[in-house]
Amino acid sequence: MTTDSVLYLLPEATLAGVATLIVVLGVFVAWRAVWSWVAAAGLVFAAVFVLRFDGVADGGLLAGDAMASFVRWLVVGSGLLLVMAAARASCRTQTAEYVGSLLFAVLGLLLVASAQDLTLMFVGLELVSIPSYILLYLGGRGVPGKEATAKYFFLSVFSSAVTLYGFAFLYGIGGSTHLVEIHARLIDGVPSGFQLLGALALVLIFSGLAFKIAAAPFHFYAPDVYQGTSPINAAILAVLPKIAGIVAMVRILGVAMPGQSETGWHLALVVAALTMTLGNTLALWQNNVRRLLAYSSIAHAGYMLIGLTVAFAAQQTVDTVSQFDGLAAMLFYLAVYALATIGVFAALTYLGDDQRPLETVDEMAGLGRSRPITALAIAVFMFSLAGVPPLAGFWGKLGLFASAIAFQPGQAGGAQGWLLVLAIIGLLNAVVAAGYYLRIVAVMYFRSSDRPAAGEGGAGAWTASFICALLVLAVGLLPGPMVNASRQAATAARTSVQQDAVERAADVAAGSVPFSQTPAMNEPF
Amino acid sequence: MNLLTQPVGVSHYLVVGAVLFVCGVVCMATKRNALGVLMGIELVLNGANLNFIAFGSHVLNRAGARTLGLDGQLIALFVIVLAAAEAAIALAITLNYYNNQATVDVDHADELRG
Repeated sequence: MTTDSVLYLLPEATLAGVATLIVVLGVFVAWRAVWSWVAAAGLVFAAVFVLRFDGVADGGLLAGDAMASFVRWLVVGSGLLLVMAAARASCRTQTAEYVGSLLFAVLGLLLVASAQDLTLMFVGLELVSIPSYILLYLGGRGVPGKEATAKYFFLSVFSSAVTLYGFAFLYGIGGSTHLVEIHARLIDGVPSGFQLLGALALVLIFSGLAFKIAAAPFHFYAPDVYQGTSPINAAILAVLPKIAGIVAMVRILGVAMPGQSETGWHLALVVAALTMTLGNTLALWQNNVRRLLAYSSIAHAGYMLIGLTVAFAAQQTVDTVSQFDGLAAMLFYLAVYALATIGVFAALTYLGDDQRPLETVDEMAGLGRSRPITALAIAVFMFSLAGVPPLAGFWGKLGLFASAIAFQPGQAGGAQGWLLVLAIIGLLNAVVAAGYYLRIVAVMYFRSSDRPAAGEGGAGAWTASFICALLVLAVGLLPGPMVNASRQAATAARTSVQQDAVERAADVAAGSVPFSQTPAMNEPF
Repeated sequence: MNLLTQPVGVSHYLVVGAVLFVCGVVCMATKRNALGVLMGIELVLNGANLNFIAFGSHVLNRAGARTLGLDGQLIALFVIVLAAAEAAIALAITLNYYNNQATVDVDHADELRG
């Protein structure tokens, strides 16, 4: 059985090897352009291994289910696009450590994707965060860059510590760091005397992860940091931690903590409504493109939390999986958001030059004439983020709102009405959001400029944004396969915490698990 | 239930952990020196560590009635290593910040706002 999980971890091993190689040898090789190619090759190999060794892991710390493979594909794809978009920067202005750190962050995300244990989950989350500090540090220029790094670092470390504190309580009430065992222990309700700790664990873990996805009231760093750093760094920060946070939310809060759903859906509902309203309203007043997109990414975190709210509320009802599954809608939205965000930041990277990235919305004037293809790609991303049919973002929003509206209560009172209110708030927000997305499109096409954008960000960034635009269009026209994949992922996340329990119980009975985890709880208070 | 009259158990450790956590948060919120903020982070992390070890300890849990294996101790070791990595990066960032601003006062980081 161990061979299986060794082979399953080949993508992670490949990336670890390649990233170490880049960081070590980068000191000696003066020709920097080679490292982007090496990193891209490593990611391609990782993708091949993900395809080849799919879902063959044994139990243990890893969950090699459909959820893991959905997220792994998303992560490897995003990593490849980000390396392409960063190619110019990493061969002109950056040291080899830049692309090496990017690979380490992708590696951390791959671990988060299949982590079924709090220890591995925390190590994975930190392996996403720590390289991102280095990326910010290397990528930012001048005083704003350093300020952005310091702000992000201190807040992010604090959020990790809060998450860890929550994990400690979860470990205490669940009696294990393994999510399957925690689920098995909590399915009958939190043991008496531990109710307070259960709620504390939920609130602390939710707060820590809310920082990672930039949800209100932990969103305030995002605009400053995105504005202070380069577009490609902004893309990395807008996508990688968000994937990590959402996946950890699905694995831990969404499925492994039954019995906390009453607190859970209230909390998630308030945060979701607050986040999207705040993000969309503040985005209306921004003129700096990266700041605007930061508020837009905050708003998208709010939309995604609708899915978590529905999942929490559904835990209370009898049948947990309906046709409109909150978690599935959230995962689909995450993938669509990641594509559009990487695409738009790659396009912004392409439009700038080595000295100065594109800063304000006004600088985008006249792009429709001077850079028709890039302008078209940006327009596609804007329409997708705004949720205009038939682009991918429309199906994402449709799935989320439908899951909230179609929610059927079993005996859980109250949730249905509030979810309807949440869906209406979401719809109103989508209308407000269209205001600033369409403003960018209007500036590009209906205003002329005598100073066209430099457009020296490199062929890699151009290709990355072009591929993203094609993917957004393709998913928009043919959403079926991805909707199915996300649905299977959500179902797998649910079943693997339960099915493994049966297998592991059998293992314990057969004596193949060295430690016994079935003692009676005694009262600590 | 009065903690003062009880033999030392998990709850006492949880209280110490909570005190460390709150001290760390207050320290991060009030210190203007970047290194002071870093100390606050260490306090918060170690408050969590203490909880992990207290929950995992079979000595504290009344003569092994409730053993949780070594998971708690293991995650604490991981956290110590990760905290060291974070401290290294924190010092690099602070040094760099000092080179730019000639101070480690985080209140001077107010260029980006709006």
